Amino acid sequence: MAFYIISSALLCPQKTFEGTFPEEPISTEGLYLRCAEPDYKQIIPPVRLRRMSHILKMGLAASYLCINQSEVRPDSIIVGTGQGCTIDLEGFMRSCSEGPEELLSPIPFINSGHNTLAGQIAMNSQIKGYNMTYLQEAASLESALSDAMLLLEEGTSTCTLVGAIDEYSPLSFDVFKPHNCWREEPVNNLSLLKADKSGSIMGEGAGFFCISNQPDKQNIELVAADSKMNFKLGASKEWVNNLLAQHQLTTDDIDYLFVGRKGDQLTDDASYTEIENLFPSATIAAYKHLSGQYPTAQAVALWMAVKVLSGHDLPAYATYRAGAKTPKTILLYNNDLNSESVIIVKKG
Amino acid sequence: MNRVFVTGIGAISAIGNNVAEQLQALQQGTSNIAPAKLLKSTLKLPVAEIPFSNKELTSLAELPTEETFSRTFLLGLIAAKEALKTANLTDRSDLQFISSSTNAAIEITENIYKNPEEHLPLLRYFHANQIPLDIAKELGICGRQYTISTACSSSANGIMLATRLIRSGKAKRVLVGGNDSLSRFSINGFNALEIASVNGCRPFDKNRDGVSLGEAGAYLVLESEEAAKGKHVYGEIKGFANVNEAYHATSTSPDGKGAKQAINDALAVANLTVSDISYINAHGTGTKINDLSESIAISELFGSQTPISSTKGCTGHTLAACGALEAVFSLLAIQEQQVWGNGRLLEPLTETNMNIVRETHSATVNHVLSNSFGFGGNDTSLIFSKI
Repeated sequence: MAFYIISSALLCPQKTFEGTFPEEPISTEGLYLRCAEPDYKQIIPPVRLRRMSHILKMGLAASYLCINQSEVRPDSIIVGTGQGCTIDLEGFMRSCSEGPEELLSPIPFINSGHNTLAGQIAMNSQIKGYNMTYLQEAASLESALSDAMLLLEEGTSTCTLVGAIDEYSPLSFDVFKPHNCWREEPVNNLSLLKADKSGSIMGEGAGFFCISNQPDKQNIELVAADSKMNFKLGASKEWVNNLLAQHQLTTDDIDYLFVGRKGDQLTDDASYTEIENLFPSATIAAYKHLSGQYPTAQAVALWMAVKVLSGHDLPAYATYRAGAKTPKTILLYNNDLNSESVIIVKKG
Repeated sequence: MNRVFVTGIGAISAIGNNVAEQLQALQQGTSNIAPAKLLKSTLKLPVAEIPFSNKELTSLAELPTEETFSRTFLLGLIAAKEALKTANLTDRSDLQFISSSTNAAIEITENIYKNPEEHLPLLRYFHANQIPLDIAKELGICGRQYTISTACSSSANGIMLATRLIRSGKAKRVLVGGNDSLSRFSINGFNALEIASVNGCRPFDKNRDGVSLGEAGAYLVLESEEAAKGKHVYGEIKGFANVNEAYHATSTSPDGKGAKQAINDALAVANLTVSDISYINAHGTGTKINDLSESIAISELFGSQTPISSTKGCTGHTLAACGALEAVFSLLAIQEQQVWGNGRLLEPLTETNMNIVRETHSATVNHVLSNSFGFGGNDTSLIFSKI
């Protein structure tokens, strides 16, 4: 059975919410990039916007944009989030700590539930089928996508909305500090991939995709989404090869490769060079200098891959190594703290 | 389509350290809801606390007691080890792993503001997926891993995913479950929502006044029929369904629409009808709203004959762990041919007329329906069957 990406929407630090690659990327100096946000009032009914947390606004807006473009209305919702609703989580933790415990507002508690977004989308769009949330760091999007494929295969769903979301917060930033994940000095995002220092910059964003069992005219097929626990530095080349073989693909079939290079001197080459060498003639695209590093950033790559397969040229600012010209089959590889993941998409 | 068998079960909760102890407690109708001894909260609400310090749990988990671990991790590991042991699973090369907790190790992270120095070594538990990864490492699991977070239906949804993976041939065997420990965070959340019980929870009672939180770790080993060949089988997972009510962020609909849909869908997957269900292990949290809407759904579908009970009067509401814990209880009902008493019930609610099990008794148990509902309108029903 084949699965098709029939709609996609992305909010991230670049102005991608308009649906195309921006001509000029946003360039700023700092330790993190914030999401470029659309005018939410134009997308989300204003009455609902009140008291809505940052992550909910990003997620609901991206889900609306995605559903509105989809030819088929999704009947199920699966969200993957690396860290969940950290701002409200921290807010309620702090108020419990500071007390008095007897007088707390329930709003941040409600909004701290990691499946709040999936529930809110269901409520706002009245989608009453299967509703799932994966909370799984860098493997969250891949779990959500493979669950969606299983759901379509079973016939439980004909079109599933899959989302990937993470928000920047002081808490989510600090959590990664002990792992040397961040730069010590502010850096311009566009020079990040030089990887001349250790660490990366943080980002945030929400990417949503409608996955259907029927193609639309773009005919973009979601072939595979897989993840693997990995506790050491380095890439599992054999695992990637096996995955290709499982889908009757060879390394020659891959025209474009998206890598999760994040500008970290200590890990970038160890995590990606071997995989890049597997595909010597492929064009290599990178995106974390545009989006920043966050657990579900591979959604940025997936959105870009969908654009490229729909006929948009990969912008020069996202080209890491020039290679094959016509993209037909694209592999996305991400190597992150504790896990590796692969997504494969192709023009059907 | 592969059949899915349960070959291993493990659990720790306020009514026992292992499956055998919990079985005994269910048979005797033991409830353990009382003021907290370990949880530090000024709210002084009754809870179902596991009466062991983290150090004692560390030795129960067979880990070095000079090291410090998160309580949520320890509860999960103890239950997961028991499940693997009962399944006699030594070769773990093709084992996949699905787990869940509501907020990772919230019982650690919430203290960071008060005593940062003391909790510094545990900062790693801020990572949402740290507990599952630690459990996987400890048990030598290297297959695919999933972590679900859908509030109180989390581990029921984990069991549903595991079942679907095995049915479709995408997994041969899966270790699946959940873990949550008591935290100031959760108890304050339920209190702020005005659904925390002051008098101790009484699910389906006329005078119920809310939830008593509990803590637990519960894991199951699910295997395909072929992989389970020659093994002791606790039961088969025949039905499952998850739907969203799309009604309210934390409340269930008054007519139990979502619950009815989940139950009906699970019956359809199992190819069973309401009359095939011998016992219902309800979600039954003890809140006014949940218990009424769930009882309306159950009465409408099943009438007043099918035995039903909530075991949360015994164990408290163990949040992300409750789906897996009650899956274990459902399988024990099949094994013992008994239905479990609805702990702490005095006078049943009067709006509906259900056959609530007052005290544990013998019965013919072929198919058990287990409900787990979560915030965000998340409704899950599972059906466990005798083979």
